[in-house]
Amino acid sequence: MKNLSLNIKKIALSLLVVGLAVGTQAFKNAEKEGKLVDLYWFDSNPIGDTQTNPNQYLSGDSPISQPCSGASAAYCARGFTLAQTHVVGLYRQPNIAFNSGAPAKKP
Amino acid sequence: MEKIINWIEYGICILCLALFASAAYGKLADHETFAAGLSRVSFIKGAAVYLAWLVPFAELLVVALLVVPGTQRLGLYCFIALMAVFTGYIVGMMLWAEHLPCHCNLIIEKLSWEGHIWFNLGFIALSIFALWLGRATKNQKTIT
Repeated sequence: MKNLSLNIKKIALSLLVVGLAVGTQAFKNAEKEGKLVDLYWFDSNPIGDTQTNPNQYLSGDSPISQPCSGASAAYCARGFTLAQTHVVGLYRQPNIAFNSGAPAKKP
Repeated sequence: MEKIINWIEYGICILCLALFASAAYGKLADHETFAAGLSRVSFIKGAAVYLAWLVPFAELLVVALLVVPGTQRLGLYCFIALMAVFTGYIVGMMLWAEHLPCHCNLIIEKLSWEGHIWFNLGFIALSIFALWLGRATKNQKTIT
């Protein structure tokens, strides 16, 4: 009985490691293909704001932690919170110009 | 002591299965690139289509064997065999191939081809060590 429970624990741990390995690889693949760009970059032009530089919303400086300015200011003015503007950013259409900056795949 | 040895053996199995799980996923997720890369290698060009499926599924089979405690030893033997084949492939590529495509994952991607060989040899040595540990504890059990 003790052996069985140890075996189950070992299987569970092994599956967890498999999940972690596959998840890391999947994240890396998505990053390579530029699929995460849309998640990282905030909508640069939500309601006709032409003054915003999209590069200011890279993953390192999430709009949630930034002051309410630029594109997010436009949302803030309409009553959205910074967190909400970030979520709006997640659902925008893929921007081909931004994605072209993603690293190219290996041959 | 036996418990510690068992956990070391298990830890090595975990490392091996993490390596093969991520490698298999990488090859299946980006299967077209992987198959195209293989078809550019002169000495496996003809079988590239089959190999592109066979390699990740062989890796997945080894992962399955390594996950179940009862088949871990068999899994380690298969792991060593596959890693030996991969190392042979890398050596062959270094000797005969004009271009060196690499469909490696995670940290291996940043390694040179020589580094890749050392990496594979390290894993082979590690799994042989795990098999030896298992055998040593088994022998000790039968003596006592």
